[in-house]
Amino acid sequence: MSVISKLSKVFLFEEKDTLLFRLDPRIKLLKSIILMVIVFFIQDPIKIGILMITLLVEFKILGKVLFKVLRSILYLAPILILIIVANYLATYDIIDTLSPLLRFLLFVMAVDLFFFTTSPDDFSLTLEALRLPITISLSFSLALRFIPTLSMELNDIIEAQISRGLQLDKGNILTRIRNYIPLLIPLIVLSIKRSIEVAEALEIRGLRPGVKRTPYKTLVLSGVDYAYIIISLIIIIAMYILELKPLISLAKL
Amino acid sequence: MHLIEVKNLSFKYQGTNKFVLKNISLSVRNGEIVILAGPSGCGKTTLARTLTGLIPQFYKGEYSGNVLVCGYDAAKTPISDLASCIGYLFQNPDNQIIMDTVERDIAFSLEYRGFTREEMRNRITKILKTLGIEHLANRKIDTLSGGEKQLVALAGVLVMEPKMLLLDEVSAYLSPRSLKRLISIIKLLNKEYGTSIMLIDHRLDLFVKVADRVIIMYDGVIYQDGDPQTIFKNLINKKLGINIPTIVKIYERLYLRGIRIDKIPLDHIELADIIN
Amino acid sequence: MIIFDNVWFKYGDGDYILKNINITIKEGEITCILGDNGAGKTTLLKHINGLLKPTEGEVYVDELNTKEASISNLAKKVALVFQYPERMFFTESVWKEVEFALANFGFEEDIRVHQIRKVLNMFWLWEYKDRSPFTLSGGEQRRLAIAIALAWDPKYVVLDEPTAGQDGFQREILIDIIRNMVYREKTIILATHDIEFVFELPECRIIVLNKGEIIYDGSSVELFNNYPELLIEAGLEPPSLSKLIQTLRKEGKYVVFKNYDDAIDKIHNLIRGGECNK
Repeated sequence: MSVISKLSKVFLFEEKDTLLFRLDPRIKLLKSIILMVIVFFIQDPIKIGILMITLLVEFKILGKVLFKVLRSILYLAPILILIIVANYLATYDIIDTLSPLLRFLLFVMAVDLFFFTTSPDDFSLTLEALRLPITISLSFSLALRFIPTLSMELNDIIEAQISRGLQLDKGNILTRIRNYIPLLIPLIVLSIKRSIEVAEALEIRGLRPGVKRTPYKTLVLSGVDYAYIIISLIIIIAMYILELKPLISLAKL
Repeated sequence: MHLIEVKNLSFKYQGTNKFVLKNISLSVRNGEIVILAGPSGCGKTTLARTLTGLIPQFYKGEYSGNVLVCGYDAAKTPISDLASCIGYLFQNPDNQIIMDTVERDIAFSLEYRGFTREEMRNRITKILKTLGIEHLANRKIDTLSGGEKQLVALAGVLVMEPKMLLLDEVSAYLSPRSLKRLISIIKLLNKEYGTSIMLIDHRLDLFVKVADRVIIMYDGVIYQDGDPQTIFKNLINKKLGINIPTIVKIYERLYLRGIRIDKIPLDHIELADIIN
Repeated sequence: MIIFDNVWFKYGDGDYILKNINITIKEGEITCILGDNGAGKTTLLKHINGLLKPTEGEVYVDELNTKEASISNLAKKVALVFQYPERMFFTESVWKEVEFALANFGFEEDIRVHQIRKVLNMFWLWEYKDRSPFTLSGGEQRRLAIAIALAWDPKYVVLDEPTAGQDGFQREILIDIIRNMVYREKTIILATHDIEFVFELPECRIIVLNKGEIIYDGSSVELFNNYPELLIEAGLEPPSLSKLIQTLRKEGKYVVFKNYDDAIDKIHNLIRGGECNK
């Protein structure tokens, strides 16, 4: 299993049949964005903590992706450690260290919320719904669609190079970086060749930019989507407005 | 008027010195199954590109002559319009599949043609049924096998109901089983819908039993054009780089030993009959 | 000698891709592994140079256990030529492509030059030595891939689907190349679903793989003459001469074709009304 394939399993979409996956992607995008923004307006680690817990519950019960989210956080461990150390050295205060850490984690979880539960097809439908030009949403679509292919090709390239003597685990840091050239160049060449073929394919499959397009599938909001976003908004706004100062003073003592 | 009419076609890719097509003329009628065979580099794919309009619209170069498909000038008519006449299937089906799931990918071809969603759904259902891939409708593309991907790519092209199917070297990476299935589908399409088929391939051995007509290309010109029997008789002792069926090769060797047989056997059954 | 000792293989938690594989390949043999796509051919080949290690069982290459030896040491003995040659080129010239492998294996400058010259000439690629590998045709790229594989003089040459996408001229060259390698006493292992090609090779050992299991291991002559149904079971199409043999036998004429030329002789005989000699 190649590096790309491992990484893509950790950071990209994988199909599951649960509520979270069936929600309208626009709703999830809205919530993600709101969370990403609110992170800058709420400093209180307890409030952030509450929001995180609601998200974790959501991931577990509504989505069954909890393990994946936790694993993605694990892969970010170096950054997390950096945040903890930098902030502690700057403030020598636990609360002031915890706050940026938790806010960063909430941010990551907000991103995961959208990207882990939205299929490439739904993602392109979302871009279309946002009235982006078809060329942009098609470009994203194609990029996502070919990630598994790229992963497989990289795997084949690595195997071919190893089979003619390339040793990826030997040498100093400079040698190891240079050893990426025999891996990257074939990959790039293959990608360029592919994009030409795909461009041909788009033409002969009838792509007519500028002509009115009848989309086969569009996104439709349902009752569940409305319920989800309303409940989510209530929780988020509540956290923003409510005063939890008394509780914090107690904690500091 | 024929489905395809090519007159005095010559073409040289931009930035190269050599003419890949040299004064080619040919025509294809409705309902014909034709094999276009020839060694690598003889110009088969280039010719296919001129039929779909990819040359000269996508690939520039020096172009002279005339190509009419379904009556349209292939050099001037937009490629997406020509797609309703000729459906082109690549060697590598992966690069022809645009969307992430099967059903949505097949729909892609129809979204720019002014159909209602109802009409699209009908066409898609029909093509899934014809090709026997209804069970794949909601599958993700990267979970499909090579043969299945080829069928999905085929569906995406057939759904525009072209009058002719152009298959470019599809034998290269398909397993024998998938190829057999593809061939029976081609025969069905030709028989029931009158779709013309052009198979571009150097593996004559795989397709010779399906074809009405064989066109041999060599170094940019049409070397031979006729029914399989005549073509094979004319190919005796000539090395052209195409894969002739083993049984025909045996006929050739026997011929060189002085044995004369009227009709060239195209498979083992015909040869067995001759022996008896 | 290459030994597969009770090898089973699967990725992680999935199903077994290889089951109960027991093979001993002696030096100087040609072995053809036949099977449909997905039967496990490529997976099996990758075990020979250590790219994959068995989940259960052992693979030995000249007494080196692939689970313990480094891939680099195994690759020196076993050259694996993959199905898609374009998935490895990255240098500016054909010369440099060949040199890359030699440099990796630690050959000295003067030996490198000698070897590169030798293999490029052997494969009619000398005129392309300064050209970019990306400008070569498919057939030429495949020749280059095989040339590279021979540059460091490995004992074992493993080819994965060597005829994929090759036209008549290229196939003939390939058959010549294989005959040449046999002459130079290399041990050749190739995996393919192209039966007609295997039929045109000199008599070889055939292993038929069906869904990860070996269902035939023996001579090509035996298989094509007496057991073509095994090929059908494995999802493959028997060669036309094989089918001819079966048809003739059903009609009371018992024939055995040892090879292509032998077949011609016997058919000639039959047509003249002669007896079918074994």
